Amino acid sequence: MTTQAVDILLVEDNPDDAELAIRALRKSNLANHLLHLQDGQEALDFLFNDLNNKPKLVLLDLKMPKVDGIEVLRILKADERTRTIPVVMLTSSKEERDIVETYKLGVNAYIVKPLDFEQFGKAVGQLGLFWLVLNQTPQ
Amino acid sequence: MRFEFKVVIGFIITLSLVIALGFYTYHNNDNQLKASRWVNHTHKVLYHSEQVLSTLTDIETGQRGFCLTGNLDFLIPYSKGKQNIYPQLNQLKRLTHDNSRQYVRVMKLEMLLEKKLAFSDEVVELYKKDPAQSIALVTSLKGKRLMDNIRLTFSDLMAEENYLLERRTIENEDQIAKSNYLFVLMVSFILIILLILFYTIYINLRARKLAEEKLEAAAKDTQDLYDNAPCGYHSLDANGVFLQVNNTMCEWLGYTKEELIGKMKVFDLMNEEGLKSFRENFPLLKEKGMIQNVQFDIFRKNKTSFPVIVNSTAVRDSNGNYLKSRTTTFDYTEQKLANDKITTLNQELEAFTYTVSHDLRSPLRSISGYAQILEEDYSPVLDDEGKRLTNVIIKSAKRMGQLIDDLLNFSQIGRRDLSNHLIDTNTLVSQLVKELKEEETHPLEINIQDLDPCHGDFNMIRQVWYNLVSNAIKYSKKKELIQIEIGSYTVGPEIVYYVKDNGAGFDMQYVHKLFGVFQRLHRINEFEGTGVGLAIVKRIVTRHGGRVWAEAQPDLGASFYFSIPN
Repeated sequence: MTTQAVDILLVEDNPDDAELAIRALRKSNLANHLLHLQDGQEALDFLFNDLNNKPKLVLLDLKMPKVDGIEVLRILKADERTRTIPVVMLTSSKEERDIVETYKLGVNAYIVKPLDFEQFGKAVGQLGLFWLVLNQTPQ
Repeated sequence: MRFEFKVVIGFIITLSLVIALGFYTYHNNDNQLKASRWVNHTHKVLYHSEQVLSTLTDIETGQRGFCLTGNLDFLIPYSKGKQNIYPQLNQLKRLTHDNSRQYVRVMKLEMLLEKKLAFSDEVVELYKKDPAQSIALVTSLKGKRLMDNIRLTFSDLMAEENYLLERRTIENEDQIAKSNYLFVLMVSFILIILLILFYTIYINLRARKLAEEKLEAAAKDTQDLYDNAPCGYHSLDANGVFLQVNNTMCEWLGYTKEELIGKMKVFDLMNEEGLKSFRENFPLLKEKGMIQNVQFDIFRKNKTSFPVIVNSTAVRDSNGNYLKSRTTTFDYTEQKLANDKITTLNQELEAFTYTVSHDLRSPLRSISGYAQILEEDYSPVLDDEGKRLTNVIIKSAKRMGQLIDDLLNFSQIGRRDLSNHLIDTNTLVSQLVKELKEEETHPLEINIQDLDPCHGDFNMIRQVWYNLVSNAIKYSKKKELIQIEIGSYTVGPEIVYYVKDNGAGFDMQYVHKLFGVFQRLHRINEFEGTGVGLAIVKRIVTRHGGRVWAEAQPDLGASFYFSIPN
């Protein structure tokens, strides 16, 4: 897995949600260099293992077992070396305090997973396009 | 007139009268003394007159006896009388010196006496030489005339004195009668004034006593209220030492007043946290004169503690310096337990809704997502019934998602803090209506009257308007032209807003269900909706202190009203 350059890192514990997200990204042709990890600890291990090959985008689920999305976000944004990686939160709820807290920690975008799969596909597709193709990150 | 003034005036009048009476009595006594002296004087004049006359008679008798008998013994009273008569006459002269008329009479008497004595001497001397010649001299009646004249003059003198005596006696009696009358008058007057003065003082004293008793009772009441009120009272000096404390507080703490007052400081009864709060708030009290609702735990004598809420104001001297506090203390134990319970419940509720919002939506997403995949990727192998069934799954999942969202929204409205701003209802509603009109394709006519502004939470009030107006549109769609009227009016202390439509209306017998959660009066295939919109309206309006109600008739439209306190 790590031998190949990763463009999008999807951190999601729910396999159904992960499959739907990957399907939506694939539809937009963005799933070629995608890595799916199932919890926050795995994600942190991966990201700090090879700091020279950082992903172009991290899609992070908020609620996960062990290390949750907010914790991962806090660690990434607190570290000089990982601060510039764009992080987009994917979450089931539009709970006000979650939105406020993640923005305080420096999240780049916050997406509530829509129930409508078509809408979800569109949202994830646009998101991937923006961060992978249009956005310029400092190298 | 003030009481003190009355008393002083009364006292001055009485004193003046007593002094006047004193002077008058003195003057009167003096007059009487003088009068009695005069009476005495008259008696003396009469006495001396009679003495002179008597002495003269003695001389006359001596002379006659000698002339009749030639016996020389008769000449003894004669010579003695001559010796005495002049001193006696001089005495009379002195006594009548002040009365010119009487004095003239006495002078005349003196002259007549001298003549009479000279005549008598002549008779006596002649008798010694020639008794016949002497008798002839006596018979010449010269002596008798002189004697008659003397008697007459005496008679005048004594008559005058008697007259004077009588006059003086009458005058004196008059004077005494008059002075008695005046004396009685003055004493009566003094008595009346004294009575008035006594009455005034008595009334005043009685009023004072009553007022004192009243004051005492009031003070007792106040003290009872202070001591036994159902809250703690105490006062602290500038160093936090107890100056006063009531019984209730003492009972709570387990200390006696004697143990607390002047000996203990309030922070002897505090833990670290309380001390911190005290160090912040006590200077504030001294500076600003007031602290409110300060909470801390306070130790009893037995080292257990309980939570209190303290309110305090500062007592200052005339220069504005802090003297002491007036502090009320409330035992907060039960409220704190209740508050803690509410906090716990709220936390549980929050955890619950948080879980609902995350975990319930997740499988829904899978249902919806996979059904859509089925629809997209497997439509060639699905027959029409299969496609319809897939569609039902997708629609149901979406509806459930909507229900969850609405329910969460509803529960959040109950928990969110209310802001309070002046809301320009005209602008709010016109903008909202503009947005709704842009989305709507059905012919639509909305008539907005002038709307009163109100105070409240802008976002929540906007939600109320959004729900009511969008409902009005939704439930009128079966009419060719949707007609909606929006307006407001003020009744007493509240502003009433209304939204009237010409839509489906409802049967008034179900009106009680209208504002309940998930309550719907129409079938889902008639009008879409989750049945939360009006429940949200009711909750928001109730939180603002207002009311909601509705009137309708089936197929003739509905009117929804809500009020906001003015």
